[in-house]
Amino acid sequence: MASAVDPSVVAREPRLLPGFTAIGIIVLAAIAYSIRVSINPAAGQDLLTFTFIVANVVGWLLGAILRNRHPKSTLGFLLVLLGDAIFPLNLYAPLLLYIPITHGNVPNTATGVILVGLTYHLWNYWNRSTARFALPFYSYFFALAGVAGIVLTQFTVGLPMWTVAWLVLLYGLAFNEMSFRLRPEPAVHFAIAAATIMTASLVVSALAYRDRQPIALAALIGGTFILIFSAIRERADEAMSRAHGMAAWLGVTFTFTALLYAFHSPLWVYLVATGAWTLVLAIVSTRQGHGWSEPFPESAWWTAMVLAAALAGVLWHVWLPFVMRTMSGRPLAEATTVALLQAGLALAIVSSWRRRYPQIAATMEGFVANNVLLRLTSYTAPLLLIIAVAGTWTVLHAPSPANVYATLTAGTLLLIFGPALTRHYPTEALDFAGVLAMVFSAFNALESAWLSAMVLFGAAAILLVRRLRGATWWTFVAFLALTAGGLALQPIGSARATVVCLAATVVVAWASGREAKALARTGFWSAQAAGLLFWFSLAALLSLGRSWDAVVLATWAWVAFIASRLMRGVGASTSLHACLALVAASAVMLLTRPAGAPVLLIALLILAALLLELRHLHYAGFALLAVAIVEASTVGESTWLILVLAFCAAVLLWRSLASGSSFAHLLFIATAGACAYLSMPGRGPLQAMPIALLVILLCVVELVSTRISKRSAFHADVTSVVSLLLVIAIVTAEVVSVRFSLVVLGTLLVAVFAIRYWIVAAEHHRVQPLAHALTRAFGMIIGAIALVALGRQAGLSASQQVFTLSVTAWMLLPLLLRTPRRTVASWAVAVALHILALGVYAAAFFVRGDDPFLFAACLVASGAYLVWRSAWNVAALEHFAAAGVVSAICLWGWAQGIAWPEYYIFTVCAYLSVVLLRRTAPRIENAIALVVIAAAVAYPYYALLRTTQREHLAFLAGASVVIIHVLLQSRRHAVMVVTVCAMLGLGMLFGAVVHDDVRLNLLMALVGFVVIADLGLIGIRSDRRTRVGEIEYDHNRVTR
Amino acid sequence: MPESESLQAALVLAGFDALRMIGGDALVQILLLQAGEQDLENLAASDARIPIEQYLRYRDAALDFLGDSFATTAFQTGKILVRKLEKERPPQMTWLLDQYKHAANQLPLIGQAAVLASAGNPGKVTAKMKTKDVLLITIERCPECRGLERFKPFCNINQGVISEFAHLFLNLGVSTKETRCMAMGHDRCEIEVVVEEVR
Repeated sequence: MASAVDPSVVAREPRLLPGFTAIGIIVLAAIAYSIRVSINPAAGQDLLTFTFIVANVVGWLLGAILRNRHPKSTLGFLLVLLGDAIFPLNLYAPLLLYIPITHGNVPNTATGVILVGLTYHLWNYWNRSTARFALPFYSYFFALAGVAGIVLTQFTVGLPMWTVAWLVLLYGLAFNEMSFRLRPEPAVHFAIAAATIMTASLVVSALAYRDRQPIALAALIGGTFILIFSAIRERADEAMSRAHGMAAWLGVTFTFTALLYAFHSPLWVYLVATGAWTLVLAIVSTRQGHGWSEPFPESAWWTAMVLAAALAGVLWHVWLPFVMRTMSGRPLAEATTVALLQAGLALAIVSSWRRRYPQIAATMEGFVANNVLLRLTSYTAPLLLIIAVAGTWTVLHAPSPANVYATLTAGTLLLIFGPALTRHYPTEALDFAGVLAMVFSAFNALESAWLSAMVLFGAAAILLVRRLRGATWWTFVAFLALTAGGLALQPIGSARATVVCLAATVVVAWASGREAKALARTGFWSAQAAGLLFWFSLAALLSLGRSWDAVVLATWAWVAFIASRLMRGVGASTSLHACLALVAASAVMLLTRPAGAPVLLIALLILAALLLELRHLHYAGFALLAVAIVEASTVGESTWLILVLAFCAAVLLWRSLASGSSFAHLLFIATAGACAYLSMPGRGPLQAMPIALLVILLCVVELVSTRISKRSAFHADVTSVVSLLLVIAIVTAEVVSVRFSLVVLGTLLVAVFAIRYWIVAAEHHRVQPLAHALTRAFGMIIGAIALVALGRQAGLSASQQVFTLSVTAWMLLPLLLRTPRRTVASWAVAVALHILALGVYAAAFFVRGDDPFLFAACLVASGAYLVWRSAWNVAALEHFAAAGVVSAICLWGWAQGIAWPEYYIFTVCAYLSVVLLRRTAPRIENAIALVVIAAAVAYPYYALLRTTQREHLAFLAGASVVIIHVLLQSRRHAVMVVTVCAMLGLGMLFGAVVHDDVRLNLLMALVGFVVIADLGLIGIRSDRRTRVGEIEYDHNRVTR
Repeated sequence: MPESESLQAALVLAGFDALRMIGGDALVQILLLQAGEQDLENLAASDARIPIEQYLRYRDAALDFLGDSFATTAFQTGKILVRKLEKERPPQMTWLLDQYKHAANQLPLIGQAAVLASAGNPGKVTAKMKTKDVLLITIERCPECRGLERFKPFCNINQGVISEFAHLFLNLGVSTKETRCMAMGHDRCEIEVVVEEVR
């Protein structure tokens, strides 16, 4: 029978996973409720108890009916599983609350539930041809439920602990014999379950031996012998025999520990003995098993791993001060050192042995597990040994601080001699431990940053040498990382740091030159970063303050640019990219950090000169020169302006000599000079408007002359673009300054029509047709703004002005719909409409407030988009329309003072979910789904973890239910569904742990029911879909 | 025998190649005609799968026709199968070789490769080191000799695969000896592998 938890079944039926999550949540709610009534029976709520019972009964009945109709019904299976899963808990709460014999008595109630559960599942297992659970479940259930029932007898019947230990042992023995002789299906799982019971009996016996009663020790020794015997008896099957073998080794370990306890040994003896025992187990694991001894070597390795991990875990508070400077020493340091040394050696022996004599796994899963376990062993061993070395250093009172020198020594040795041991031990594990030791050493030496840095540079140098001698790529990455760590510790501004950074730059650049592709690129980027650090350090050394940062960045950008010209290949391209990044960083620095005029002007001029040298970016250089001139004009000293203009002239002269575009440059200087003059102190930008209009007029004249005399295409293009840019600048100035001068706007409107008339879409002009169309678009925008200005003068409120703007969008619609599609003209009108409608959305957010005109403005603009969408049949326009509706809803929420971010996130996600369901964006569906998951589910989950507020839990629950529906309905990838289910499940678990609230249990149960009901609904729809002749699509909407 | 048992068509295609080396296309045609499995000829992709019953009919026809020379042809089939694998050289193989490159001897690698290669095919293959120098490969419910009664070991394809794998991938000369065979009435097949020559 195919089990429901079989991965292939889950892959075929995506509804199973959300169904399991829903069941898990309901079970979680039931467990939380059971724990609550166990602690305080008075906290029982009849409503909740009744709800769970009803869910149980309905699940069973409805599930049975559905399965009778369709034996493979997913919903039927889920409902029956729900009934089965909450049945024990449904039994527990009513027994504890309402039945006189068990009322308020937790052990009696639990025993009753276990007995009923055992009977019920025995019956189920007996009829396993129709079993609801995967068969392995039954073996472990019978084992653990039996043990739990016996352990509870010490409370229900008052049996002494040693009796309980013997009873568990007898139960284990009986189960083991039954498993061996009858081989119940599945045999392997029953055998492992038997070993589990026997291990549990060892634990119970050990607990019983607290009073040092020999009879408990006898149970422990008896259990161990039984396990050794059964491991030998099961040797024909690897899985069974090794499980019993490991249990037997644990039994021997328990027995030895009990003997130490019997002789009242001090604590350090336990530690040293456990370490020694781990070592013995490791040595045993290297022996070849034959015949009866076959199960023991492999299981000895597993046990050694468990003991080493347990030692390291239990003693963490003792060994952490060995390698971390943040904690003081603890007692038991010597014993811990010895124990970890033994454990480390044990794992190293195993790892080395397995490298030479590898195991042969019986299955692919076993092969993977072997590899994972071996790697864990290989990586853990040197780490334990490093800790032990640090401890030994302390114990032997070697030069302090031990956590610096010991780890430094260990790390150096590992890094240098690691490659020589490659035949016997994985080099990567030794390297990993070596690097970690170095980092620890540097971290511990932080009080002396120089010493720390030297440690890191030392490690980096070792790795570089190894890389140069042919080691793997990661040694180069480690070299870079350690160098970066060393540089990060440098006190910038000191002479030593400056020299170190320069040396690091040279070394890293040289080493990177010997690498290829990605490594070389990473190396050159690192070299640039080191160089920049050097440059900053030098600047600080020369007493240039932080305000000079923009200049420092700009000058290093020049260095990077020169390097890009001198180098070849990856070095050249990386230097060029670094140069661009530095230019951007310098510009950002200029914008964000206040600086004096000299810094600003020097930085601008350096950047402008650099950009003029860069192909495709030299226009930005012109712009920066203009900005520098404008900035110089605002300083108030004519000297600065003259200097800047002189520099500009020199740069432009160089530029014109180099590329020959002298006319454009002279025109630029003239325009920039005029703007500079007009922006001098005493004249503000708004006062400069008429002059800007005059420049536009000059441009028109220029255009006219271009048309008449048919001069160069470049000449005509530049003129039209300059005039267009000036128009945009003036409109922007009017809107941003909120002046809305009707005179200026009116003049602009006239100028725009004049420019448009004179721009000719001649065949030899490249930019003119575009400029022609854009001028038209801006004419419309200016008209709309003029209308708003009129309304403003008429006394309309801000919200009403926004509404007026939205109406102008409707006025543009007829023009747009009349213009033939796919022409430059239609494109221009579309741009204008976009700017107006999106302007409405933006303006509404700026204005805000509880004014219906605002919401109406967004909806009106949204309506314009909808009409446009239906006329042009462009699905993408829906998104713009939706943005209007979303804006309106968000503005309303804002006005009502809704502070939950989920309200706004869900509004956006609701639309994206609709997009997913409608499949109107097939190419980016997965991206949308990811955004929806990240925003709608991950945010409340994150907020819940951060604040523990139950409202976030409610949001998480609601969002998850909807998103699961959307993902399943739109057939998204199973990983997405898993992610949502995981967040929902973990969130609910977190909520159940943090909040002691019955309503929360009810909410969890409700969420689970809704998810299951939704799965049923999806299933019904899916079943009704016509399949005959249906074309199936894959995720890329390509027919299969 | 479970209904869903099937094996990779690459085995049959390798068998055709081995037969062609003896008697050309005509021999393949005769055998397919005799087995009543002409559609096997149309197998194009080596990653396709065929039901085991179909394979067994083809095997029985070949056995009837070839007689004593069947063993040699089967051994050759195993070798051709590995040669095709060598050409494709899947990345898993490179990874596997890398994992075992520091081992004292390469027999565990041969055993592990045999176990991993058998995944998804009929029968259950396990391997272990019988002694330090002898690898023991065990095949339960062996598909190669299924339903046969013979007086001597029959699993020659498996032996061909092992020999050629050691030769091509590990540069080793190995000798194989089938000590138990289901065709001889044993409960499982067992092949012992010993390194004879390091090239």
